[in-house]
Formats: sequence, C-alpha cells, structure tokens
Amino acid sequence: MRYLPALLIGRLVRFAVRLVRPGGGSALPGLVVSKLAPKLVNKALNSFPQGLVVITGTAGKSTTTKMVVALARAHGLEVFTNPSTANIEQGFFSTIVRYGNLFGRVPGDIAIIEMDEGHAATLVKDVQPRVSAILNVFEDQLDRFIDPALVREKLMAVAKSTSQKVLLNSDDQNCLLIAEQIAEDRKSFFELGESVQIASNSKMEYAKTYLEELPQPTAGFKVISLNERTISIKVKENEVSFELPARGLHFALDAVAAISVANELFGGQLKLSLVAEVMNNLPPVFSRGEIKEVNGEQVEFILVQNPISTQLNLDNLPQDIEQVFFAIGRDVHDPSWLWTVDFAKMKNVSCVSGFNYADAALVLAYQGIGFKAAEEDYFKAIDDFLALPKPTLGHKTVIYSADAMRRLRRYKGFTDPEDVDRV
Amino acid sequence: MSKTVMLGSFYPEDLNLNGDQANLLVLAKRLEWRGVNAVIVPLTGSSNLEKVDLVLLGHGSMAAWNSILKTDPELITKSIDYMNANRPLLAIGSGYVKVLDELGESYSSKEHRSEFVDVDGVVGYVNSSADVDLIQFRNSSVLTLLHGPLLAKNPKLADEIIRSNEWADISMRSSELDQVDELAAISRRTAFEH
Repeated sequence: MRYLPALLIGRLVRFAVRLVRPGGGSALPGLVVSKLAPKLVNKALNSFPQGLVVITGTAGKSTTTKMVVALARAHGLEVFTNPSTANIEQGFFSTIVRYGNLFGRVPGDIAIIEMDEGHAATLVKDVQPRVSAILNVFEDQLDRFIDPALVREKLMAVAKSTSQKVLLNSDDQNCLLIAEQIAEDRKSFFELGESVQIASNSKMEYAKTYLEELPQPTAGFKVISLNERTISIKVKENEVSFELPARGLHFALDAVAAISVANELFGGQLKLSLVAEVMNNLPPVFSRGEIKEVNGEQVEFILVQNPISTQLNLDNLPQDIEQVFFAIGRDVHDPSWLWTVDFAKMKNVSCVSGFNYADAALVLAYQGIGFKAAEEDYFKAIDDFLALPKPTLGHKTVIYSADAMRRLRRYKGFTDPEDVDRV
Repeated sequence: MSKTVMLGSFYPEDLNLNGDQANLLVLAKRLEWRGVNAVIVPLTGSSNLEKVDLVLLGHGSMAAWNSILKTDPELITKSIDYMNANRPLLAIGSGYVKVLDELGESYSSKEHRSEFVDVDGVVGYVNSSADVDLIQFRNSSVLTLLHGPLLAKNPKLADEIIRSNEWADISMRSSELDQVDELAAISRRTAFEH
C-alpha cells in the first residue's frame, strides 16, 4: 500500500503525456514517481522468484538484453524487462509504472534488464543481481564519466555484487581486470576472438588499460566464424549456428554474450536447436540495422551512440551506398568525440542535421567528406531526404544519435519502439 | 607551394581522448586551403623538436599518462623547453595540467565542471576540477583546459596561430574556409543552447 499514491500519480502523468504525445510518455512518469517513492525500483527488482539478470557495459546492452529475454522466454520463463530506451534510473521507474500493479509488484519469474553503467553501480548497492554480463569498456560519455578507469570501477561494483555468476568479455582487458577480483566459481567468459575480427576487417578498440596485458582465459563461449550475418558459436563442448538480426561485428559479440547468459540460466537444459530458432527469428532492436518501409521505399536506420558504435557501423556500410542522412541530436552533450571517428567510409551524404548539425558537418568538412546540405530545421531535413528519388542501388540510410532517432520516430509516427521487423 | 609546415604531436594515439588531435587537422586544412602544405608528425620524447613548427600535447586518460611518463619521463620538460624557446606549444586538457605540475605552479581543486564555457570569445568544453586559468597565452604557446577540437570551434584562434607563426596570409579566403567558419559560428552558439 505504501507505493499506491505514487503509482496512481505516475499512471495519471503517463496517461496525460500520451494524450498530448502518442507514443511518448517514457521519461516524465518515471521522474515523478522517483521523487515520490525512491525505493520502488529496488523493491520491484528484488521481488522476482528467479532473481535479477543485469546486462551492462559501454556498448551492446540493448541488443544483448533483447536476445537473452527472447532465449529465456523460449525456454518457458515469464520475463520482466525494460524497453531499450529505459536503461537509466527514470526509465526503470517508468517501466514499473507501466507494467507493475498499483502495489509496485511486477509480474514475472525473472527480471532481465539492461543497465546504464553509471546507474548500475548505484542500483547494485540495494539490489543484488543473480547473474550479470559485463560486455565491454570503450571510451565513451567522457563528459559524464571523465575517464575509462572510472567506468571500470563502476562495472566492478556490479560484478562484485553479483551472487551466482558474472559473464565477462575475455577479449577486453578491462573485463579481465574486473575478473581478477571475482572468485573462479563465480565467473565465466565469452569472446569474439581475434581471427573473427581480422576476417571481418573490423576491430573492437576497447579502452586501453596501459597495464601489463593479462593472459586471456579460455572462454566457454566463443564465436567460431562470422560471414556477413551467418555466425557459428561454440557453447561449451557444442556448437550452434544461425543468422544474426543485422550485420556487424558488434552484433556477433552481443549474440555470444547473450548465449553465455542463457547457458548460465538454464545450464544443461539449454536447447541449442531452440537457441538457433530464436536467434534466426529475432528482429533487430529498433535502429540497430533496422530496415523499415517509409513513403513506399525501404530505409535503413542506424543508431550511433559513441565512438565505437559509430566506427563499427561506418565500417559496415555498403561500398556502393548512395544516400546518407546523418543527424547528431541534443543527446550528444559534448560532440568532441565525433572527431575520434574516421568518417572515410561515409560517402554520398545528402544531408547533415540534428541539434549538433554544425559540429557534425564540421567534422565531415575537415575530414574531406562531402555533404550536399547542412540543415538546421530537422523535420525539413527529414522530409527533404525522404523526398529524394530512390537510390539506384540499395536503400536510403539514416545514421543518427538517440535524440535524433526519437524525434524522427515521433515525427514519422513510429510510435512503438518494439515494432521492428526482421528483413 | 614553398615551405611545408610540420605539425608535431606527442603520442597522438594516446593523447586524443576527446578528439584533441583534431586541432592539428584543423590547422593543416586551413593551411592547405590557403595553398600551404602541412603534415602531421607523430612524436615521442626522444624526437628532434627542431624539425617541427608546432607541438601538440593532447589530453589523455589517467592510465595513459601513467604509462607515457613512466617510459618517457622527460616529455613534459621537453615541452616546456620548447615553449620557453618561444616556439608554439599547444597544450590541451590534462596536457596543460601536466605542464603546470612540472612548472610547480600550484593550483587547487574545485567542484568538477563538465560544461561549455566562453572565455573572452573562445568557446570550448571544460571537464575538470582543476582551478586554473582556462586559457593562457605564454610566449608563442597556447595552454588551455578546453579539450577536444578547440580550433575547429574557434577558427579565429586557429588563424591567429597561423598568422603569428607566419605560415600563411590569413586574409586569403576560400569557399571551404567560408563554409567551416559559418558552421563554427553556429557550433559556438548551440554550445550554450543545450
């Protein structure tokens, strides 16, 4: 009963927001309830009979979480999860307002959630995960975190608070430093492996530790091969193959991490044929290589959130790409990191827009990447781009940051973030 | 084209945490657009600085600095000698703080700031708790706590470096310069609209 008034108010706020902005209403109810009942999230996350699974790290949280959730549901668990846009504290409150009852209880056997690395360290002071996956540490959001070593400390707190098992990326020296602090029987490793990175002409540039390199432990879960979207993964003594929902090395890492978590949850009960079936049918998380029909033609949407995701996505762009829309929105508080990215593979940029369009266009101009227009009016930029004649090869490609994504999706009426089809 | 301007950079792979190396790209392109060749030269503490026309000491992580100064303990002294010889050192972010530390110029810490600031018309991002002048001009050098691509946002400062070192006639304009300067003006304005 303690949370009833706060949750009633939260629901009213959500109803009011969605009246004026269909599809919106994610942040404000959470903000209101977090002020009125700050312990609500802890109570809800502590209440699942099979505990809490946390997916954290700099990049890949949303896709990995979506994969783990799909695998858990296919194996018969009722899962509570957070939508991919709600991985910070307010988002959790909003999710509970939406899915919980008026007593703050949320249905489900298990909670599987993605957690922003900054907020995760705070949350685990009160909520103990049963299983956690630490995906990676990249140089990202330094306006918030200042230094990659401080990010590692936050992830260390998540790992140390985990009761059953921590799954760690053995390719990343930051994860190996974290692993040093975790007992043998409470950690397992997954890896992409060097040969797969070489074969794909792309590389995961994890934040350097500048310490003597730690030996790489044998990973129980390892990508054996990756060819376009076709992937084979070693799962302990066995192997599973399937098609990834989108192309790119980062999705391969997400998949092997997700399978390692699922194996921890189900152990000998994990059915690899079911894993393959689930992964073969999993749609991409929205804007992670999502292709959607807009105005009668296919448009690819690619979300970029940090230097590494931008670089990896650019590395994967088709050589013959004809029309690119590039938008960096208000979510990028300090656009300095754009200058750490090599934009050489971004060709035929039709338009640069978003709140930080001038900074984005400056990077391109100094790097010698041509663009036809830099447009301050974001909605005009979207309309102009979508009105261009269809490209002769492939499809139009939108590369944008989170705020630019949200504004475009709202403007074009893509109201349900989970409404993403597999191509 | 006559002289090639040599733009030196200490440990460009490691002292680039916020895109600080872009400052050399900006100088090089602004020279190129005025018909002057420029090349960017990676440096270590053992490099001969006589050959370079400017030295950048960028911003690195705590771990990067620990590692660099362990193997190259003379690096900061060498940078200071270069500055004291009236040659242009561009020290950015933690590179600037290391110079102050080596000079023994004490400063205190204050509440951490992570925001855009305007220092007499120069707009940049500060992400530090060091209570120091945000920009200092010493001899021919620029020392600043404002990290990242400062010269892209502030083309007047970039051109002042070019002018004072007599690398090019900055009254020369081109369509490329007009385009980036217009974008930089918008970038400086939007910095404060977040």
